[in-house]
Amino acid sequence: MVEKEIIQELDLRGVKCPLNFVKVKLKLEELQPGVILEILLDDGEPILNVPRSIKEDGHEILAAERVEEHYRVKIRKA
Amino acid sequence: MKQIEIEELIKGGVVKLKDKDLFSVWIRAVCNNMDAVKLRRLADIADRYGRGLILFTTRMLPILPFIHFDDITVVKEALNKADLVLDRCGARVRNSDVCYDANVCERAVLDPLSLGEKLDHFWQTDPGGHKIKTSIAGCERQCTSPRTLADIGFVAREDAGRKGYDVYVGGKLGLDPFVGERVAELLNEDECVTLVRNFTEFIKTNGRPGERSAHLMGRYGKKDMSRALTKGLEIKTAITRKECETKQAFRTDKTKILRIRATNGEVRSEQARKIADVAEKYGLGFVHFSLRGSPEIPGIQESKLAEVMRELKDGGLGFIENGVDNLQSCFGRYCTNGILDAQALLQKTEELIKRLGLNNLSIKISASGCPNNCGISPLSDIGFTGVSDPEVVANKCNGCGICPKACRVKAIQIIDGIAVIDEQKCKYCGQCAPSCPFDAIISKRSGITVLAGGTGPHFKDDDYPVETELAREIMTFGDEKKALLTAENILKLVKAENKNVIALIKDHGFEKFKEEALAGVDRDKERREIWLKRK
Repeated sequence: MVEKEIIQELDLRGVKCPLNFVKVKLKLEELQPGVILEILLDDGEPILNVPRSIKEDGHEILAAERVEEHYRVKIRKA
Repeated sequence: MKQIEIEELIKGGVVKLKDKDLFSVWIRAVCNNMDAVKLRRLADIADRYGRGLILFTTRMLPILPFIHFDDITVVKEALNKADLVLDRCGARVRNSDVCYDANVCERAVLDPLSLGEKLDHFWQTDPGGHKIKTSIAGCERQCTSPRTLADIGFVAREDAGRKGYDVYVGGKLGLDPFVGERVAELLNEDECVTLVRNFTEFIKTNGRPGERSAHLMGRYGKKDMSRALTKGLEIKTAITRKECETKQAFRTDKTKILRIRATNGEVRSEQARKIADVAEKYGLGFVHFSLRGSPEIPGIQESKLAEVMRELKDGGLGFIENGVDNLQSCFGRYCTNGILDAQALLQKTEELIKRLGLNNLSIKISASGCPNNCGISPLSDIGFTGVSDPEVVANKCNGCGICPKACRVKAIQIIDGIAVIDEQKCKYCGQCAPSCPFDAIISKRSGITVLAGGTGPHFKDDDYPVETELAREIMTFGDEKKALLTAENILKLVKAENKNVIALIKDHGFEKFKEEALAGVDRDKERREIWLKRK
């Protein structure tokens, strides 16, 4: 039996650095380890800074793909 | 943490450090001074929420490191209660850097504080978007190094009885350092203010997102840029002036500026309190944050100097005495960008200097954890910089396109769905590796670059009539042992010939100097040469 993955979403389009990271951080704190969080980030500074800081906090980035003018990033909470 | 507090926070200077959930908090120091009362309060906050440490940085303002994420709001409140506010970082108008009031420093041609108070208007009204640094020097010694450390730098000068500020545009260090170009001469304060307004409007209209003055000038050319910046200088710009609390109303005669040694700009809270006490008891009641991280106490009577020094020594403090200036680093090992433990390297360099014993030349030595060079390595007689050589792990790379954006020198391209690094363009800053979400870029080697012969200029009217010069590379990707041996070779030359490094390079010629500096450093190369000769 395949365990169903719990996926949460957070839209951070239009949210500037470092506020976007702070929001992800607060959101991740609410979640159980192993839960997947999908975030939408703007191109530019946000896509450069946010995944890096998330990784530095020990979480895993599963995917990062460009969708039109922004990025969809999948994070697995550590 | 409430939403509103977070919103408030991002306006100010809060920077993430390497350790999880730890941040550094930047404190605003108007005119780069702080009165003794505030400095004591800062020491208390450092004890309570940090690790009892205050960093005196090359930005000429104090920074509290190791503040936990959860404490940022309370720290901000504690600062506000002490009448202190956060400074700014990132793409914003920065605090205007100044040296001393004409009433304090005998060398000052004009009054940098007065101009600084006016330029503060742009800090207060900044909409953000571009990093704009301004810096003012009261004389041609340029202790604040405005030609390289500011987008708009002002240098006071007197010519045939006329006093005014020469204006330089484009100064920066970082991956592509640039010595600012002169766009105007001998301006008065109001003209300087209008020029800064012209610049802020010009960059707002014509600048690309996040662009610095040096790049902007590269695109528009010096001539067009100068014309735009000097347009209508006779029209006075309306500003709100921030009064500098530490400004002196009268000239303080026969006094000295006491410079305290704080290697790596690190001052413990108990030391800060001692400095505050001495500034109140013997000085003018305030300390100055100098470029090289030395806490300075101005206004000490010459007759009291010995007494003051004894008191400070009892409090565990040393001075900038003959030989070397304050050994200054960036955040180094605490910084998310740090490749090199800059602090440890300078501590070892300090031991080396003690062993060698130097003459009174105020040799400048500094270290930066990465090629961003926040430790101002290129402006030093000897500068160390951490470097990292990146490599793409092909089977991990999915061509997501993030690293080409992270690379500030455009050395990475996605070719056939995979990142490719152009080794000719790479500046070894190491920023691409952490930008990759999938660990597909690793550092294949890291090490230290040794630079030599930089000058800020600091010595213009003394024995070394030199202009601002950026240090040149002597060695790269060396280990700590090689870097220290190179420094030792250079310092031995400095001592033997009683000249600073730029003077040595001019006398010996760069190639010969480099050879002398590397004597015994590259053993492999020497062995190879001997082997080739034998053959």
